[in-house]
Amino acid sequence: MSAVILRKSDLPAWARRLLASYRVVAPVGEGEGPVRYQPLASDGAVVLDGLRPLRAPKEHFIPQVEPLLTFQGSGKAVTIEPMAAMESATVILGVRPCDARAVTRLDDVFLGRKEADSLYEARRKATLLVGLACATPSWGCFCTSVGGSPAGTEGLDLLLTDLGDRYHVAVLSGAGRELTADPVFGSATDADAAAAEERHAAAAARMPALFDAEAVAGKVEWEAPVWMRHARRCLACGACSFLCPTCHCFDIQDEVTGEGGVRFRCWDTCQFGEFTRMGAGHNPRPTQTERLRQRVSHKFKYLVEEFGRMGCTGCGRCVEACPVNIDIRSVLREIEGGER
Amino acid sequence: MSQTQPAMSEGAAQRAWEPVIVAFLCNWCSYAGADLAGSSRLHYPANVRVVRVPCSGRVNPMFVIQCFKRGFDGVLIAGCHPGDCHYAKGNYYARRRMPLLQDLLGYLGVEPGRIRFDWVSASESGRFAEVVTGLTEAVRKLGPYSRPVPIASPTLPTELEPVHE
Amino acid sequence: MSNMETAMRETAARLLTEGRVALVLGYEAGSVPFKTAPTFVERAEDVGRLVWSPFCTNNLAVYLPKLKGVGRVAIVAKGCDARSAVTLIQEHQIPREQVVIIGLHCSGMVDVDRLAPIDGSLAGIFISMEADGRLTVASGDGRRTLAVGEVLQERCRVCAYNTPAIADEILGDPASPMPASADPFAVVAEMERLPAAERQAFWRTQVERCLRCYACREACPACYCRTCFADKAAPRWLSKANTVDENWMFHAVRAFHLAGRCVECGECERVCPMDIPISKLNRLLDRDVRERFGYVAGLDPEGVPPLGTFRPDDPDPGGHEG
Repeated sequence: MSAVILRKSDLPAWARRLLASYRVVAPVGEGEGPVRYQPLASDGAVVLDGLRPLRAPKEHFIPQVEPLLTFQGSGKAVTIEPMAAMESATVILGVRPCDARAVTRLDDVFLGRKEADSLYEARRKATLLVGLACATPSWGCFCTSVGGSPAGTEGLDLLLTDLGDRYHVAVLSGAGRELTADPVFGSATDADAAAAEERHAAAAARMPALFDAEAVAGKVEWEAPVWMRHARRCLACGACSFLCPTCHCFDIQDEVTGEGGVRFRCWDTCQFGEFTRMGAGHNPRPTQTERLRQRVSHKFKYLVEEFGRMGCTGCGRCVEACPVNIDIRSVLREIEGGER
Repeated sequence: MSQTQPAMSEGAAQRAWEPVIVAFLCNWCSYAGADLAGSSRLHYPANVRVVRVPCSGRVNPMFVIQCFKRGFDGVLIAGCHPGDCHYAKGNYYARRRMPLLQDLLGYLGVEPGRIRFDWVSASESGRFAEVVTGLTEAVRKLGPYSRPVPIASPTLPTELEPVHE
Repeated sequence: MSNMETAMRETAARLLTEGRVALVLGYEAGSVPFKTAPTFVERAEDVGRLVWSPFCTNNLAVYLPKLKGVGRVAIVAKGCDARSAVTLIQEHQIPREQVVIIGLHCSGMVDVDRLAPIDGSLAGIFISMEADGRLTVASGDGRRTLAVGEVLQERCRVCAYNTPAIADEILGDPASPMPASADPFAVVAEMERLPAAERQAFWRTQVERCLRCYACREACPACYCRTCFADKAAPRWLSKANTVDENWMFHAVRAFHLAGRCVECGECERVCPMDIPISKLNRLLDRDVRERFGYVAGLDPEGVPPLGTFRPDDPDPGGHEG
């Protein structure tokens, strides 16, 4: 893996030059609420420090609301127009390793089954991911417990490590190399590489692994007191799943106005009661106990069985967002270790 | 992330904007009053779209909020005078509900002048015309309320477009 | 505080042993020092799980309607939580005799975000309670000791009901009034000073980022409808698409549905992952319900919520002025 150096003071210039050929999406500091990955304006400021943002770049790959087709009736005829797949070449800056890894899990679901999802595929193929290694874990973070790392490279084209006044830039793909074909990039020395390694180790040391996630898959049981013990206080909101960078379930709805309308898909969550409610009223997952079991089993057992890898990258957003402190790390420790 | 309002169609831009107002009229009093205004050939602005309800107490606050979500410019809720409600008490409940709703919508930036809650009896055709005229003029002064942002591409027509033609 | 904890455990054990309640709804230690979790204690030998601290922020009344059929339930209740329980009793969601309110004198809950050290991360933080009730926070930045009053949640700072209005038992020493309890509606007045167009823009900006996760609704004890208007397919009030207009309607309708019923516990705002200032909206209606009808939510179990009744001499509408 080769590496280059980018001085922090050169980052805005590089971002502006990228804007000439790409749509640039980055954590943007203005506006209220949690930091959000948004298209960068030519005078926009990229926020590349601080903790893992609460909103993941997953919105870029699976937007919360994604029109699929429009339809228009006139008399007995109906015209249907599928939405064009996105084509604009995009670079997402400042992607944390857990989120990049999460994108590869989304790839499993949207590209790895019988038919690729064309809308997702178009976005994915058009997008490059420039990562930022984490220096400080947020309190919910546990990437090191699921085989990840605050400096993980899975899914990334470049990985930036903050060295104070400059970034160490690991080049991870051909496309990544092309992005660094810019005069602002200088060569990285062995000392730079060592400094980056040191930062990575320090960050990982703040997050000792809490459990053996590989072992968990085999220990997830259908009937077990662990589900009810944790799920009893669950409020059935969607905070965990909507913030999760790997959760991907969606609903399909029509919005009709007059004789025309739009069919779109939108985020949905297995934590809502209605998610599995059937037309006649029966609900195979009637309480939060069944729904917590579903969420954990899906991520740590079913996806492992289907794709050989977990649907959780330890970003910790669910842990931090849960109004009632349902901590998936506690659930997994209990599963791994038997009764606590 | 900012979403822009769709532009008015060219034809509409050429004609002056006209307020679009939804009027919830109770069947026994205000609707009858409106009907009398019509048959008496009283002039009042054609800007109201009437929705007949059995009673002003039936007007769910969600109807009014829905109107502003969809981009209508004003709402009228008219009922029987207190004491005259065909269902005895409906308008008493409305009398508590509607001003509170006006408070809420005002706080959200819907100018109070856009919502009028009033009494119009079956024989008060003149009053009906007066109320509608007053509200229309008030809304005209306030200008258009915001236009809703469609879910899909801006070329998808919203049902409000024809109003401007 | 530990006296309160001991008293709470003793009370819970007694109620369970005597068979007076089938379940005690309280707080247990969370997965990190600055969180607690709602807990359901059904056996006297488990009361050791119960804790009391300035991190017991959840409004446990939200579970009361869900525990129908379990039998009589005891609820550990701060002032706000007790008021929520009263609202549920008023609205016949739980019979008065089916709930035992273990009231607590409350000095306010910590706003956890204000504990974060310079690097902004609460990871690895360690918190201990001093004998005088102050908190010692140890993090990468070092140690500091502070009074809960310095890091209060906003809704606590303005709370006028930190002594439960209704309780079957009350624990703890009477707490002093909260620092800003005399002016709980200052934020409302501030908003009203803005012109309408700015208010409109403000609220549209706030709701634009709403994910419609419904955490606010689910955390609210007053939102107990089996099928919320937002989830109804017939009639379909809201699209599932979270456009700014749909979100606007969701928040406007929910606020209105809470008019005269919201006890300002602030949980809606705390649980919102997008930091939408929801209670700033609820407070407007709380104030106006007080001014128009002289009514405060959750104080009298025999009370009737103001929109469920009327007076023949209620003021008439003033035409087009609100």
